[in-house]
Amino acid sequence: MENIDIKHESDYKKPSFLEKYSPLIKYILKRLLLIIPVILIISFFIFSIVEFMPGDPLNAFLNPEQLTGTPEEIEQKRLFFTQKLGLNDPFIVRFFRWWKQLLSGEFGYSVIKNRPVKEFIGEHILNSFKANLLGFALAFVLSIVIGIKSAVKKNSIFDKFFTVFSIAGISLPRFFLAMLLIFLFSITLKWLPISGMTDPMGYRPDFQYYILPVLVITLAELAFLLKYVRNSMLEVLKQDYIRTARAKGLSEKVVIYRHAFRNALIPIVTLLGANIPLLFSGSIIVEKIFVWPGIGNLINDSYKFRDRSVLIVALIFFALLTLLGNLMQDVGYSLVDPRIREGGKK
Amino acid sequence: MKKFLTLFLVLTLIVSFTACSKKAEETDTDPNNDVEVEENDDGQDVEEEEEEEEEGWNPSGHVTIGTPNYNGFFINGWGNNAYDGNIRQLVFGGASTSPAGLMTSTEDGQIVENSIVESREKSDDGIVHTFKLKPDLVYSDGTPLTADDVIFTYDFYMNAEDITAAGGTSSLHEYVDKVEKIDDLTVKFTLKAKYYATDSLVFIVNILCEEWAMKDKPADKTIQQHVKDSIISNPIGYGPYKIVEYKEGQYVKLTVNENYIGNYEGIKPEIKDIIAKVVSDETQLDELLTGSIDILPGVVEAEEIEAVKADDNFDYCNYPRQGYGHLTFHADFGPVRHKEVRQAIAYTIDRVVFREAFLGKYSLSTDGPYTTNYWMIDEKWVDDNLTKYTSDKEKVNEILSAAGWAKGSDGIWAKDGEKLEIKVAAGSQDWADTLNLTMGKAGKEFGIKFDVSFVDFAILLDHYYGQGLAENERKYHMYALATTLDIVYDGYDNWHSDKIVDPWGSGVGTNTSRFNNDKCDELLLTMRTAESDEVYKNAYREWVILMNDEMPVLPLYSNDYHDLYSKRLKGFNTNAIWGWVPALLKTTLK
Repeated sequence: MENIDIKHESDYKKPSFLEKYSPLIKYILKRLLLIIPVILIISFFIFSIVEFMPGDPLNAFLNPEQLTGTPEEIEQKRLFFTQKLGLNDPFIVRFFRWWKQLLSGEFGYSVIKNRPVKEFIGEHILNSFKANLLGFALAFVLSIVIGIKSAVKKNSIFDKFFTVFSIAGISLPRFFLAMLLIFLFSITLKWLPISGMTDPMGYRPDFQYYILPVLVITLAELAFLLKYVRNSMLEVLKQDYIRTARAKGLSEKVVIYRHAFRNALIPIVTLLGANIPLLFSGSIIVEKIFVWPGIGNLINDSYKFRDRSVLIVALIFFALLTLLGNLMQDVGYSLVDPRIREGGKK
Repeated sequence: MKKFLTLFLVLTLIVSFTACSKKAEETDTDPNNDVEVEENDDGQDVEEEEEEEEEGWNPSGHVTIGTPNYNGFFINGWGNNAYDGNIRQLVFGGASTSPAGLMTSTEDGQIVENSIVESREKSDDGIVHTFKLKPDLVYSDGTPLTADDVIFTYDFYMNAEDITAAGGTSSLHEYVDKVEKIDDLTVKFTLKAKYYATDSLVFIVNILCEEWAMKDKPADKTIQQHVKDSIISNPIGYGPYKIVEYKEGQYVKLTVNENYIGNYEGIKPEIKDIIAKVVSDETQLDELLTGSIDILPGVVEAEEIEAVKADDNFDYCNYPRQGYGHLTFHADFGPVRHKEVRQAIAYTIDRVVFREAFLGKYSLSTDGPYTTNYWMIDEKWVDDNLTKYTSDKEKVNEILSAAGWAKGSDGIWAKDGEKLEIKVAAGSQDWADTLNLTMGKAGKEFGIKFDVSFVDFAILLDHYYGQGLAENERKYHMYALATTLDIVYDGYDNWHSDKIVDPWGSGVGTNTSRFNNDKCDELLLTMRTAESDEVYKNAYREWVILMNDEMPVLPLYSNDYHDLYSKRLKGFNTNAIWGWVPALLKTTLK
């Protein structure tokens, strides 16, 4: 017969932070190390796809609308870019050289911009982060606040309003939403600027330029997340342990925020990780409309003219975002669900 | 948990706005109100303003122009982005597609000496040109502009090896044999040959400041590489404005160059600050109507033009585009290598219908690779001398029958086993749809089968230039594209048979139509080496007649460009060769 060691609650020693989270930290480190071979494999595929895409990248500087220079000059320029991109070398040599360059902080050479990619890619990525993360954070917080309230006050006017909002928000393309907000806030009310990131004359504070793009991202994300938070919360509120908590006489606040909320978060965390790369790719149109110099705008131009170096870096950036999103998802899981953190230990 | 969320939200907002904001200047809150802020850098600006007032030149206010994106190459030699070109004109002066150098262009397209030139002498044979600069010239930062800078500039661009290695191009070395300094203000040029367009080909080049270019140059870099890597987006010039700030993908801010001596007429700008702001196609009109921008140049969409015409607060200038949209034939490929086939195709398309479907009402069509902006031709001459191609079935039958073509059982013209099945490549869905609606639909009725495809632009360019493709991969006979023409036309690179790279696929030639015609070659050389305007004009006219007959390129439309602007601007007048930059010099603000 098994001896069951029953400890009194007062005998229970609260684990230190390290004891509590060391498996998680180890897990994160392991996953981060795993990203390296995965990104290597992904980069090989991305490199292959971009390299074998039809369309000569050396034509990017030959604008047919204003073709100037002699054939000799054009040939010289083609040679320059051939050399810069190492196009005469075999594919596999180019791939490994690209990686070698990458490790030394080089990202190749842009044919369209006629300069090294590292000179401008960072700023574009940073600009995309500024708008996207702000929009994403706002959407995340608001979706939790509104979603919980909608679930708790199911079928109320509040709930119905946000259910309709959610359906409408998911249905509306971001492009349309952006134009709608521009019409409302910039053209009709004249409160906010239409586009740009800053006022060259300094008449407007910079934050005004952030409002519309961030609002588009926030509303689009909020509409998407809201549905999941509400449904997840509704699901949790039906559980036996919630009924038990209420039966114990706990206040509704404690029931909702202590017992229901964390469990409702588990499926949401899954979404968040997967949503980060989608968020960036979804903002390509938003960036174009608001003349926001982010990575989305770069991808547009780079694809049209087959600017390989930029395309490869941008696509790998998205791949990396996906991998980090997955990691965040798993870490988030273990933060909200101790069973996962403790490796399924009872 | 609620507290945590609130705290998280507040922190997110604080961090984001702190990261994203820069200190806004304390200014008027109304963006449309031109209240100047007195800068205070050691009182320098105040002193300058006082000096200006004493001289009676006191520019004020600001104007914002909406344009597409810049590459940031604000000197000659690195690409031909027209919007970069606008900034070059602001920094160095000038009016056409190039910044002013020793020469510049006028409102009616004449090439004249720039204001920095005191005098110019030309040898009888047109080979030796001696320019004397005005004394006491300075760049916008106060650095003297002397003969050394002119010599430096031409050395900079004529060093083909170094400029190519830095990713640039220049063809000056093809025209100039040597440049010599006579004294501190005098420079002598010896050319390799005399060309009709010498003044625009050789002397409309921005004069770079040697001191600016050499500053902080690392020993292991060529000057060209150093300029391109470090300072190409912030040149100093002798034009009406100087760059204050360039924000990639957003705007270029410029302020008046207090050392500017005026344009070729001595005119100085009355507007203090210029903002060239990047706008998107989707919202550019709203930017104008809401006052975010004051000028929106080069508008072609009828809906946008109508919206502005209906608003009393705005005005416009319109002019025919210096160029045209066209279908270029690969004149050495398949059935379109025959002149009669190209002519027949020109008779299958109703260009009025095409234009209305493609652009709305603001456009016209030419009947050859010319623009009516050129002084060499006028409407009457065009009407009297050129064939007007339009949809005409009888003409198609007449031309093809006379050349020995006959309709087969499928109703398609054929000759010696070759059918009139024409593949057309279009680089945009709009192009493809409109061509399908017009020639694609009508073709069958005319006995010509058109296969119009929307091709990814990069792939279209592969076929158009024919680089790296095998002959059996060649499939398109016609390409839907557009062309902008130089202010002084020299068609040698685009139409001379020397500029065809043979065989197709072995390299990029600039004669992209691959049109090979002895008479055309002869006329182009006559134009190139013309001794007088009269000789040039006659050769040009003869060449246009030849091209109208041979039809290596079928012009479909010339946009009627509209430069839309706020009535806040007074005296703003543009035309095809006098864009918004030179027009602003004669503009004042209400």
